[in-house]
Amino acid sequence: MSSSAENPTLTAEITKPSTEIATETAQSAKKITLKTSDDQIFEVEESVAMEFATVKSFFEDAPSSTDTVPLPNVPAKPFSQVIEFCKEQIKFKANPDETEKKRSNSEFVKEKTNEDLVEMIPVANYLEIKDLLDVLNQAVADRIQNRSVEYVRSFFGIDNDFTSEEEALLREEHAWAFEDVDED
Amino acid sequence: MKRRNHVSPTRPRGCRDDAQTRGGGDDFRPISALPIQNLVDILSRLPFKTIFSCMCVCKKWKDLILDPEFAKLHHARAPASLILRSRRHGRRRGPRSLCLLDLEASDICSPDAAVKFSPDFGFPSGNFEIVNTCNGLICIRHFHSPNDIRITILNPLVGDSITLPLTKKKHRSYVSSWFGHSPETDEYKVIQFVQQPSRLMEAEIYTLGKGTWTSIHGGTLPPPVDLRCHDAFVDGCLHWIVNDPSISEFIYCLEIGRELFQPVPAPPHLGPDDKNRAEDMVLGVLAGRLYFFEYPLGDHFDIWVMKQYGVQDSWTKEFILRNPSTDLIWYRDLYRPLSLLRNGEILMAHKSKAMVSYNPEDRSFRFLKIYGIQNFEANPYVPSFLSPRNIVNGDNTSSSNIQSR
Repeated sequence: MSSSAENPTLTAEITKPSTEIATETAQSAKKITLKTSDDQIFEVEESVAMEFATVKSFFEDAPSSTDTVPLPNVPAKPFSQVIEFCKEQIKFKANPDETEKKRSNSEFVKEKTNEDLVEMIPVANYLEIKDLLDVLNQAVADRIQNRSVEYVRSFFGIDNDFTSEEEALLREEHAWAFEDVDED
Repeated sequence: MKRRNHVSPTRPRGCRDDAQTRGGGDDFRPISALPIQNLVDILSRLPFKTIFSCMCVCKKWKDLILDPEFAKLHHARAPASLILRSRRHGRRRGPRSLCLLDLEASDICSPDAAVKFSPDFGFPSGNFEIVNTCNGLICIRHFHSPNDIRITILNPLVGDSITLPLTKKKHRSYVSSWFGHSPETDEYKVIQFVQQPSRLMEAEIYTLGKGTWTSIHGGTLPPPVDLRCHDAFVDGCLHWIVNDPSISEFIYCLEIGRELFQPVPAPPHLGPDDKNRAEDMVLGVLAGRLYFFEYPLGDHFDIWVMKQYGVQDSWTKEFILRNPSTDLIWYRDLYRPLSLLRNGEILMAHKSKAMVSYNPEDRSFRFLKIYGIQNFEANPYVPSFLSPRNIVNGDNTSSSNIQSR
């Protein structure tokens, strides 16, 4: 959060390589202004914003609106990463290449921390970005598969509410599932 | 929190460093704040072994995983698998081992692909045979005594089973039983074919949740069923080859939802003169489609696939397998195609001990040694968390929740 505090108006271009900013400016595509829950203003290209089903339906109801769209459930940090994903996605809309799309998606999640992934899920859910949700949920599943119970709890920040007797019984019933898990 | 022997902080995993995998950070938002549907979606993508350990995470997770809605979501994503059971050989009467083989694992011969079922997964301790499987449920015939042969529907993953009541009829000659699901009526049914002393075939059906055996349509006689027919269910219809020369059709099916017998178009190359070879014809299912082939195989083995269900012209000679060895005789039941693997190979049970996969691209056969088990019979299976008792819901069958020991 500290970096965004120094820079109150984040724009989507921050995550873009400089060459692409140039082309975008040249095209001067229509921008949509969005405001996050922590009062950051994002100016996002219309084509990217239309990837957010929630925002899209907002404009379907009010096509000529130039108002800033409030996103009360969306903090800036995960939102900028969501924008990064959607910018990549629209490239594949014009030019479908499943293999390249898969590679790009796996590249996207690979460089994200667990925290990043977990924070983006409610944002993708609120904005109804189905493809991203699918990618994120799978990425989280991949990171916890074959891991110990303790690892999974710490990953999600969950407190164990079983008594030690209850947990021992559960573990005994399915002892095989607790063998050969990956080391933490 | 107790974390004893798992700690090994130096092991690198992918590109993530330890701080990342810990999921720490000051403004870390616990995922428990996630919408439930996202959490359930994540859990449904896990291998079932991890799902079991996730039941121990907290009470909320355990309830989510045991919910019937989770079972549906998970089953739709669960990997195609096989249940393998070792054969009894010689006079040794030790327990036969059972294991679950994940066919979508990157290497199906690796130890990771095979999970061994110890006897406490709810399988009966006595003598039983696996009939077939459907939606993660396994149908077994359980031999208590020569006059007491029971059918049990079991889900080893949830340790839950139901045993069907005995039919009131005296069966002189049992032929076969099958377990299936009708997508139209969402009913699970067990079909039993029996031969009466008059040599006539009869079919009885038991709907889970209804509680009684009934004759199909007041005793409509089914076309003769081949004793050796395989598990050929497609879309809630059980298929078999009719080898009775007085019936002109080659393939019949029982639509288990409406309980109707119907002829199904056979591959177009079959004519009336071929009827005398019907005993050597085999049906099965590959990737959800009906397949057909016939013995003797000669120097090649042609698998016909009905690409569009019910359309005769859609039967296509999809795979032609060349016999790898000229001195090998392709006798009946030498190969039984089981599944299409992700890499395009056809996985087949082999009469000798192993499993064989055939690569249609370079026409090569590969013998597969499965970790921890040899000389086995194999049944296609898709793991699920569906509870047989939830299906029955008030039925008068005896049910039990088998506690594993």
